[in-house]
Formats: sequence, C-alpha cells, structure tokens
Amino acid sequence: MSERSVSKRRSLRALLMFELRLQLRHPISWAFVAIVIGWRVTTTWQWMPDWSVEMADTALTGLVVGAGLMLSANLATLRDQRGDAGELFDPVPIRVDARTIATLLACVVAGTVLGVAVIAAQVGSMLVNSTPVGRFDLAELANGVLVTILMTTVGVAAGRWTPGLIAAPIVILLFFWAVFQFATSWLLPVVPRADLVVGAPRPPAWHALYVLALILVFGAAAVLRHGHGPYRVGLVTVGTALAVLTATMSLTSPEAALMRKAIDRSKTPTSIIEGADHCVSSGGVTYCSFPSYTGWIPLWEQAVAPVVAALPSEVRTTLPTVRQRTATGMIDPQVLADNILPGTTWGRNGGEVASRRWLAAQMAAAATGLPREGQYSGGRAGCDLRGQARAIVVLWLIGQVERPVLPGRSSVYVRERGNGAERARTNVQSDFGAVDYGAAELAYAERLLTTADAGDRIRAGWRKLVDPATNVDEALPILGLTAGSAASKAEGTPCT
Amino acid sequence: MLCGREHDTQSVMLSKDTLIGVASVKLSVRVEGMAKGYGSRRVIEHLDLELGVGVTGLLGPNGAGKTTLLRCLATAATVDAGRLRILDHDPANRADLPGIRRRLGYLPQNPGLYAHFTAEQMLDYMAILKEMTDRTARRQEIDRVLTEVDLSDRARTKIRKLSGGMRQRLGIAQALIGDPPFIILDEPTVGLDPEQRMRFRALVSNLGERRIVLLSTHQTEDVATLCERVVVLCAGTVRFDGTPEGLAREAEGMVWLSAQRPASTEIFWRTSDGRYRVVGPRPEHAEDASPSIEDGYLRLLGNTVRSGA
Repeated sequence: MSERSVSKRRSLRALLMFELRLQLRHPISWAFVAIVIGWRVTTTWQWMPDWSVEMADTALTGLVVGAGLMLSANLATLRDQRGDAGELFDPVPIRVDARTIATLLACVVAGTVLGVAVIAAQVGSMLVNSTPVGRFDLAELANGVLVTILMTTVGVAAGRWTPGLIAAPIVILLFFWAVFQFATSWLLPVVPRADLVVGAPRPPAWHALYVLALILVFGAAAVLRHGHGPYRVGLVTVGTALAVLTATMSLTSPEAALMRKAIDRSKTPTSIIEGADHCVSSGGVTYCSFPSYTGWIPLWEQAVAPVVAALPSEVRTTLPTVRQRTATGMIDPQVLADNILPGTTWGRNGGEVASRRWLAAQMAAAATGLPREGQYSGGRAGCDLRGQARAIVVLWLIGQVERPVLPGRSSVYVRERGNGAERARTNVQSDFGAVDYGAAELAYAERLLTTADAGDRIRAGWRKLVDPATNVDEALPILGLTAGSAASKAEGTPCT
Repeated sequence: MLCGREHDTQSVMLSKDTLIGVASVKLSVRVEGMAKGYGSRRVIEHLDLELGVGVTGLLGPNGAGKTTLLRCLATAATVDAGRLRILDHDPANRADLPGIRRRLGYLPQNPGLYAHFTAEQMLDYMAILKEMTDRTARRQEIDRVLTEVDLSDRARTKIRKLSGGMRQRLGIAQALIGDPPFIILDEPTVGLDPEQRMRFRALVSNLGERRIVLLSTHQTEDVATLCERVVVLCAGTVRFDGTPEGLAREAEGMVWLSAQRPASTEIFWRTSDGRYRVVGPRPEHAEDASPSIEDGYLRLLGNTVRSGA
C-alpha cells in the first residue's frame, strides 16, 4: 500500500472519529432520542408488554430517532456548502468525497449506536415488573435500527444533492407521510403495526435486508455527487438490484400471503373473540386467550380466583368464561352474556391495580346478576345501584382483590332526538361500565372488608342480598353492620 | 475599470531557495501567462509573477483580480490559460494537488467558519482536513496557533459568539495550521483593532522569515510595514512589482502640501493640520512632501480615484 493511501486512510479515520463525536453529541439527535424514550416509557410503563405489538411500535420509533439524526447528518453534510465555506474547504488535501464518506460512515455508526440504545432503553423499560407475551422478534428490532441508519444516510445524500437547509425537513415529512399513508405496504422501510387480527403477520427478515439495500443505494448516491466513477455507479446499481430482489422476496414470502389474507378477512367483520381458544380451567372458571397471550392467564386468575372463592358454592357453577377479545370486531350479545372479555392489555407498575379491579368487578357483577361492561341496564345512560344491598356485596367482592373505588364521571354533550337541542349529560364509568353507586355503599363495603365473618354472612344471606329489591337498610342486619351514613337515592334508572 | 496611466511592468525576482528538512524543496511560486475569467469576462490577462520567501503584498482596486489570483494559487480555482508552479508542484496535475494543499495555508476573504463549532473544534476539523491524523499532535498544533493569534482563552467559545475581529484571527489561525511554507492571506486585517493589527504584523513578519507569504490587502500601511515586496494588480495585470519604497517613489515629485484647496488636481485630501495633501501636478504655493506608499499607489492608479472623492 502506498504512503499516500495509508495517509488517506488515516485521515479518513480521523475525520470519521471527528464526525462521529459530533453526531453522537449533537443536541438535535439527543432531543429526538429523549423525546422517543420519554414518550415510549411514559406510554408503556403501566402496561404489560405484548411483544407482537411492542416490537412493531419500537421499530417504528426508529423513524423518529432517524429524523433527528437525519437533521444532524444533513447539517454536517452542508457544513462545507454554507456561505463561503467552500473557499475554506476547497484548498485542503482531504477532498469533498472523502468528507462525504466520513460523514456517511459516522452517521451509520451514530445511527447504529443511538438506534440500538433507544431500542434497548424501550425494551429494558418494558421488562421492568413485567410478564411479556407475544413474539419477541429481533429482526423487527434490527429493522428499527436500520431505518434510523437509512434516514441518516438519506440526510447525507439530501445534503449533497440539495444544498438548502429545508431539504431534510421535507424528506422527513415525506417519510412520515408515506409510512402513515401506505401503512400496510411492506415496501415501506418500516411497517407500522396492523391491528387486523391478533398476531397479524409481520414482514420477514428479507425486509431488513431490503432496508439495508436502500441504505447502500442512498449512501452510494451521496458519493455519486462527486463523480460518476465506475465504482460508485456500480454501488448504486448493486444496491438497487439488491433492493428490488429483497423487496420481491419480502412481498412473495408466506408472511405476505398471510398478511393479504388478514387484510381480506378484515373487510368482513369477525367476532371479537375469534381465535381466543387457548383455554385453561382453574377453580371452576375457564380462561381462554389468544395463542400468544397465554402468559397472562395466571394474571387473570389472580384477579378472579379470590372473588370466586368468596362466592357461595352454588353460584360458582354458573360463572361465565373469561375469554380474551380484540379491540375491534363484532360483539354478539350472547358472547357478552357467556363471557367476561378482557382485552389485549394488562397493567403493570401500578397499572395492574386497575386491570385486576376491573376483572374482579366483571366476575363479581356476573355472580350478583349486575350488568357488566358492554351490557346495558337502563339504556346507554346506564343504571344506578344506589340504595341496593347488592352494591355493598359486589364492592366487597371486588375488595377481595383490590380496594374498590367510586365511579368516574365525565360531562358530555348529547344532541336530543327530535328538536336537535344539545344538553349536558354526566357519563358514569365504573368498573362495571355505566353502573353508578355512591359513597355510602362504598363505605359499608369497606367496613365489611374489615369484618372477620363478613364472607360467611354474605354467603348465608346471598339470595336476599343480591335481590335487586333488597335495600341497604334491609341488608345491614344480615351483614352485621350498624347504620352509618345514609344511602342516597338512585339518581338514574335503578339497576334491575 | 480604469487603472490610470500605463506603467511598465517590473519583474523583481525575490525568490530564495530554501531547504526544508532533508529534502531540497524549492520554496517558490511561479505564475506564467496566467489568464482567468468568469463567463465572457476576463479577470486576469496574461499574468506573470514569481514569489519567493518573504512577505509579498498584493494591492489593487476592487475587481483588479486579486482574489481570483489568490484562489488560483490556493488551488480553489483553476486557470483558463498559462501555467502555475507552486512549491515545485503543478496544480493542473491532480496528483500534485495534495502535495500543494498539504503545504498551503489559506485565509479566504470570507472564511466560512462554521458558527456552531467552538474555535478549537473548527481548528481541529481544519487540521484533520490538512491530514494531521495524530490527535495529540493536533491538540498541540491547535494550542500553538491559538496562542499565535491570541485566542487561547476563547478555545471553547462557539464561533457565533466571537467578535468579528476574533473570527478573523481564528481564520488566520486555521491558515497557520501545519506550519505551511506557503501562506495566502486575503484581507487578513479586516476587523482587527489597532493592537491586534500590531500583533498580526509581528506574526506575519515572523512567518515571512522562512515562508512565502502572499498578503492581499487594501491597507497600504500594512504593506509598508510588513512587505519587502509589493505587487499592484489592476484589471488583471501587474501594474507594479517592486519594493514598497519603489512604489512610494512612483509618486516622487508629485506629492505636495498646500494651504489652499487645489482647483484642479488629480487627487487631494485635507490633512489633520488643515493643509491639503495633493498627489499630482504641483498647485501654486505648495510645498514639496515626501511620498508614501499610499501616494505611490494612488499615483499609479490615479485615474480611478478622483479628487475630492
């Protein structure tokens, strides 16, 4: 190797290290990294990770990290083109093509480092106090890093071909527009999650190679700006051929066929429980989940078993199945009647309290004949349990798992039929759905939770206590409670 | 552009052969029959020039072709015709370019210093671009050039926060990186305060002892105090090439002090003692004055500077 080429290599390495230090310290890159980590940790912290969902969402964040790096890469590339900078940089031994190559390599390394760091931070945060379910897909995560690298490479290419500072923001907008406009296209460098069916197919590993080929194309395109040598043209050609080949392999893969099937099937509404047929029976209750969610059945059981254990034995034989459902699809009333329907989320890091309380409430409601979430008694406005003895029972049953709380309220404006006038309405949202109850019932239930023989008393007086006609005053002697704060009267339609 | 009366081009050869290290390298820059234009406009027409060790001042009115000449010598532009020979290398030969550029320090008229870099980052970047690959050596070199331009205490200041004069000094510092034997400075004293200008003169005169320094300026004072040779360029051709004293002598017998405002003279201005300094034919009752380099320059390019302007 000649002295000159050794010198060039050393200079390139020095320049690469210089650019890398800048890229890794660039405030724009770090701002985007902070935004992504902050946003993702905040939104996922209280939810159990479902890798089938989180892998795709985490990979998608590569787009945002890549946007930051694209801006900083673009600025680095434009450094020698702004103002009269060319005057300064033209007469130096290291030529502009070497500067472009160094910037490209630095961006690839910085993209890899920051992309991996951001993904590791997200995955690490999801592993805290969690019982993950779903498929942990390393190829999907690798795709997230690759899309970050791709965007930085595009930033360099944009800087070399279009000297304006506006080019990079426009390219970023185009990226985001394309990703959300053609969300199900596997030609996108990063494919958003498709909520068509639970465990919808994801692009195969070919897709990651496709993104790699795109990186090669844009990298070579950036260097092509400085001359059309055969080596550079060859790189673009090879990269383009690889991109076409890998895209074809991806689009003709078995996963793609499954995806097309899922898209076709999504045009016909399906039941929300279709596919939730992985069942386990425990303590007289059957739990059914989608195949990839079996890991959460023990969590459901922890929320249901204490309620069931507190019920009279004859009631335990008539309990509904706990069956997982998707967020969208058809809901058959009979499905609602026969099943308690937890979704595809479950809380953690404090969020599990609401998940457990909600599932306990569904079982308690089913046992006491109350409407459950999705079922309506008293019309869409819901019904009111105030004054009814079973309100105390159902809240006590919830208390076997988590401390019961008052219903939440929100104001909405509804348009009346006929005259079209708007009026304000208070929507009630309790763990049972649109079922209201008051502080008095809650207070009695809390007192009951501290009473040693409460379970025996409730089981002994079960029929009377869960009868909608039995009021709180009538229930107090059965429950061994003395009268406290008077129960308020039902404001809405009493629950039947 | 008008460039005054015709003047015979003088060729004063001041180049010296100098030994650098163990290799014998001729420290000289030669320009032969150079022509350069932009579009249909000729900026430099058949220019011959030879530079050797020492400080050479380049004077000339705006548009004379000074910056174009400097850009060509700095290998930032190519010539349309003629031949350049820089430090024993031919810039027309691509293979020779790195050899020239590695040994060249160039301060352009508007150095595009990257405002978001700190002073030391900018110098580090320039040092890398000048193929200084050893980090420790770069660090030492940056410290050296920052000290040379009295900016050591601003090493970590962002360039956007530096004053105009400081930026100019930083521009000079980057030209000094690697201790190049050929230094081109285009308007280096713009924005420098008097004290900094004095420091700059000391620095450049020191540099000129062992290097070829080509200094383009409008400051005749800088040329008078710094340069052992001055070249006056006008309309792309050399109008004068000689010593500063020689340039001053161009106005010998043509500089006067008059108590009365001259009626029709080529160039005059009112001095601090209330009298008029006149460059041109003797006005009535005027006293003879010894010419300065500025007088010589004005005399040389007299037609471009009208009296009373």
